[in-house]
Amino acid sequence: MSRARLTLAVTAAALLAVACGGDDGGSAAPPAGAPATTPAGTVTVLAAASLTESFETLAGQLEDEYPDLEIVYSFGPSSGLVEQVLAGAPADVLATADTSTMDDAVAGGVVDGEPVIFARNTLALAVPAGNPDNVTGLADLANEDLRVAICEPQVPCGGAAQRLLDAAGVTAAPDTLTTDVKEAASLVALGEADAALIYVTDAAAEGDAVEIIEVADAVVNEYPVAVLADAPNPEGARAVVDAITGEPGRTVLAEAGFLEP
Amino acid sequence: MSLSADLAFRRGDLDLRVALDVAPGAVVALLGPNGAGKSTTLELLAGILPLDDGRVELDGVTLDDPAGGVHVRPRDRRVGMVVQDYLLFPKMSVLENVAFGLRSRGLPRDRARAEAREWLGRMGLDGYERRRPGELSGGQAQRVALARALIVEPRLLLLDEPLAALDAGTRPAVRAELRRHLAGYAGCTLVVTHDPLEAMVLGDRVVVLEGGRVVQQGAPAEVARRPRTDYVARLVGLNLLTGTASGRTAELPSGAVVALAHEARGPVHIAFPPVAVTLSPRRPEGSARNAWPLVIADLEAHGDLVRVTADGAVPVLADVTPLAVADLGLEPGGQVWASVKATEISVYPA
Amino acid sequence: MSRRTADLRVPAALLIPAALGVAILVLPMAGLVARAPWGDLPSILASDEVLTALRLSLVTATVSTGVALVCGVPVAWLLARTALPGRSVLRGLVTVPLVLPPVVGGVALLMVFGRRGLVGAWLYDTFGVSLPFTTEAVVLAQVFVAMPFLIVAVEGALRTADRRYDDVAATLGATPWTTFRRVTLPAVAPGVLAGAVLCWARALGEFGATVTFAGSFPGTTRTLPLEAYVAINAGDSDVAIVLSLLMIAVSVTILVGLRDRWIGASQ
Repeated sequence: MSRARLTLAVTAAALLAVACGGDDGGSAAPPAGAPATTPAGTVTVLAAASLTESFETLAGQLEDEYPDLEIVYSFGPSSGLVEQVLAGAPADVLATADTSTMDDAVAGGVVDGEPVIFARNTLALAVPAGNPDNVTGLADLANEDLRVAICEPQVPCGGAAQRLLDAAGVTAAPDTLTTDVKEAASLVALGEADAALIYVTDAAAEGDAVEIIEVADAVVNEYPVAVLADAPNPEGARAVVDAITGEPGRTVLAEAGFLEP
Repeated sequence: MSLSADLAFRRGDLDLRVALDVAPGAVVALLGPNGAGKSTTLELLAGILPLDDGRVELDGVTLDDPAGGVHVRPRDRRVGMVVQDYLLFPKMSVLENVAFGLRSRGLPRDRARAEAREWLGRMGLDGYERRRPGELSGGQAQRVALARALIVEPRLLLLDEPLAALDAGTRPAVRAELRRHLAGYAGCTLVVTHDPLEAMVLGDRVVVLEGGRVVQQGAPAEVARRPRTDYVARLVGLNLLTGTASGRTAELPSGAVVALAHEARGPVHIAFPPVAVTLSPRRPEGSARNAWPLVIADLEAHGDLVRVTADGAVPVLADVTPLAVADLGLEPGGQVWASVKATEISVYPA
Repeated sequence: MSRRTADLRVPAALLIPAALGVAILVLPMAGLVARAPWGDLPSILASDEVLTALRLSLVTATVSTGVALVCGVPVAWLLARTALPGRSVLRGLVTVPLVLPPVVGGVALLMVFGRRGLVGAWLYDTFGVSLPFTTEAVVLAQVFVAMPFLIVAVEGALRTADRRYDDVAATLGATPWTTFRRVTLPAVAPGVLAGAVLCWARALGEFGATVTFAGSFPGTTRTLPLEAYVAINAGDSDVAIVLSLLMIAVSVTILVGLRDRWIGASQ
């Protein structure tokens, strides 16, 4: 990865072990309906960790199209990103993994206009390749002998996991609560966790290292994106949001396993 | 118990080759300037440093024989050591310090302490058992260090400048006391010092070390009377010249001639005390046949007298009264005649 | 000797950057104090999560310091007192964690002691032992990150200690072990204490290696710094501030208290 990335120290822990995939960006068509003015400059995007691969691909396409545009990402847990924005982090675009975290940002008055839902995601029960512990369903997460990774309840993937487990009537026995969905995905890919509840998209991003066990009634998360009120580069920000919500974003996100809004 | 050592050791600038023999119960004083290799000699005998070559035998037991692959570890040598700053273990009480050797040899704590208490009594340190080393005077610390070394009954006792850390006022008393304790010790003792008085008082025999070599050895009186090197001569306060004798005269390398009271032949040392030198403004007349014109290099107070350093064909030190300095108008750079009676001169083969 | 009165004329070229430096170090802590939710402080401090994390932090940091003492002091002794071949390489290796980002240490620990790691796989197959996500893993991560502080401090103390005491002890018949125990160790005790305090403080603050290698679960692996991280990411900044203040208070108390009572007194 040659692109400069604003990797905040707090997200380093989660990102380090992540395999960096999906950076090829060659197959998708150029974005339709380009804005009248050519976007330029640097656009800083704070995005939920589960969007890492898709957004990297999207940035590649956008930067090919607009040579003067540079997109800088900071990926992390949505709630942490909102904290950063509320604390005055200089960013242009915020994309979170659920609506409740985005609502906090809206309530804090840091969002310009209405957030737009651009994708939906479902949870999957992920196990290491070959399913060594013969995990069959959510009920296995209650097994004390199984090493289970689930997101921290306060972050979107953790909230979604909690709702899913509640609906299934399962009391999980997790061994670690990650603040970041990518961290849980990595633990499964490394074989350190026997099972994890992660987004379908994150499981897909891990490739062959992870298998997905089908789960009925997987909870749906809605992903909103918004331009920030104090965006240093509002024009660039709007172009990026247009790309995310428009055809280019739809294509890339669908490839990664996201559902359409 | 006797020590027989033949030491060869080279490290940096030091090239040490020393043969030493210490008779049972004898005290040998190792005298020499800084860097002569005195402390290294002790560390070799203690086994702290390894010999390059040679042999150390103590009481019939071979401690070192590099050629034969023998090197007895310091803790198995039964060689005691007392160094200049005593190195009492600062965190232990006086009693624990003295008992350390016995405890290290596996003696139960109570027995070790009882014996240590006895040794402290012998050293006149009753009541000091619980003190810390930092609370002792220099003389007391030395006695504790001595007791700590002697309690394990070493066959060889090594003392490295044992009086150097003391102030001048207490030194004579401690020296006399140390002499008494050494007299009561049956093993061999080697005392390293750069103080000639200490060497003469403590040693049954004096060995002078210079540049890693033994340059002179003998009874203290012999060494004091007949120095063989400038270093020893300066220590014992004698003028020392070296020349070649033929009958009643000896010729110095400078060409000057010294008249002798007795016949001698071949290479000789010529020694005379500075007080035997008479200074005068003109060539003296009378019985003194040795008279040399010299230039004064330095004047220095020396007790009640003034020590005059004079250079020339026969460089000499002369001790004269302050009155004589005033009468003769002596000052550095001034000309003076120095004369010595032949009968004041002692001559011995070089 | 009389003490020189301090010269108050400090050149501006020194004073200004010095003031800036002090500000960089002190302002963040002052900021925490200013932003602290003092009203909610007692209830936050008394909450189960905070007490659980505090207990876990105190226990793991203390156990880690114990492990570091048992293993680190001998390492320092080897480095300072022996002519081991490759000693400088060894010194470099054992002090690398001082400058390594702790996260890297966590990844490395995972690769070695993880269930599929070099040593971890063997441990798991042979004994059924798996380290990640356990309190033992927290201790291991803390030892990895904090022990170098102890080693460096003790090695320094051993280097400045007079080796002739060891020689004297040897002539008195002491084995190297007796000499180490009764002579060397007491002589370097202040250095060992200083090293242990530094080590403990570093272990208490350890985050990156712990979260990467040991994970984060209340009561098992979630120490105070992890709890603070979870709190800030969960949008609960009040809890994060209180936890930060708590860690600052504990660290400052220990450092100041120990320096004045023991380290300072023996210098």
